[in-house]
Amino acid sequence: MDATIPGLMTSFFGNAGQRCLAGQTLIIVGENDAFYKDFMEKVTDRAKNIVVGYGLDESVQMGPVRDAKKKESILNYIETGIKEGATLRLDGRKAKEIKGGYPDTCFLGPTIMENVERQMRVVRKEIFGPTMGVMRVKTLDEAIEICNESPYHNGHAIFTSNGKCARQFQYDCISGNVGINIGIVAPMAFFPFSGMAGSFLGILHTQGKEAIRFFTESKVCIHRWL
Amino acid sequence: MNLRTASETLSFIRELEEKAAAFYEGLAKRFPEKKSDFLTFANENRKYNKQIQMAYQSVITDAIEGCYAFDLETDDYAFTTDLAESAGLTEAAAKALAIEEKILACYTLGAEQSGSLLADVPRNFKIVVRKRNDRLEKLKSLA
Repeated sequence: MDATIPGLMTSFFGNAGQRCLAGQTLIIVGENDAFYKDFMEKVTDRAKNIVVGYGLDESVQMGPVRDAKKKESILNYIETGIKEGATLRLDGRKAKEIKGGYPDTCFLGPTIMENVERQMRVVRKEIFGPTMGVMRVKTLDEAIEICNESPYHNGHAIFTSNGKCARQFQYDCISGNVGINIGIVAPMAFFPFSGMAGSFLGILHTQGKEAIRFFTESKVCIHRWL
Repeated sequence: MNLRTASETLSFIRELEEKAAAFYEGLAKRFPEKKSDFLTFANENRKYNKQIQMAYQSVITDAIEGCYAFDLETDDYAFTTDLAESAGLTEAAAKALAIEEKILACYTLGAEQSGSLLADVPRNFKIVVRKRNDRLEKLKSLA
């Protein structure tokens, strides 16, 4: 658990959630209520202590969102989530403190929403902000089913100490980038960066051999010497 | 002060290494018979700084996952480099050992905390700890 939580923080709240591989929905598998309670307390405690402020200050963990319009869009998603039945466990609609005393025009705090359901807009749309929607399921099969029914398939990650679960997730989850105990599934440059379904446009991915294919043309030379 | 991000932790470690390097350069002037050893230590400190900085900047996960990797208290690793005018080589070596212990403790806990999140920075922390063992032996023989 101690190793997982920093990974979740960077996944959901790193870059203020504004990166294509940022986490948005956290699915907790199992029916152990005590585990859930303890885990969520630790996650919330860590998230609420995130230092928000000017992104080039070395001690700041979360910078601003892109602009005021983006902030408004994220706030709308949070409001929609609440209307659709989610409950706010951590309200980041107003950052509790902005290091450096900057105006809050583009700043948000980390938000955690519980009781999120698979049909909600906060699950099915890309928020691209510092929000974490939490849902609970009984089995890994169910969790994978939720991942696969999403219109977007850029990155999915599992945090587990169980090799069987990791392997099942790796094979069954439809995703361009699969992480096992990795929050941000960013491949090294020699591997393709591979979104799938709604997270992909074209026929070739960036990076790796596919990038070389994208930027080059094939040339065939057939020889016969008499 | 609490250090959480990789960036601020590396800046802090850079300060520790530079402060220790300056201390060793002072010792090299004060104890000409051990000048070579002390200057080597100072140069190594600066080399470690470059090594760690390169690890941080050249591996993608170390840069993008660095904001939540550490939980270090700077007070735990603070040290002074003051040495009495009358201090001999033995006292100087003892002081250097105390400084090394602080720096090693910072690297060791830092590597432990960030190991599950970063790729190369914690690995390089461990390499620096390992490389410093020879230095500790030399200092112990002087103390």
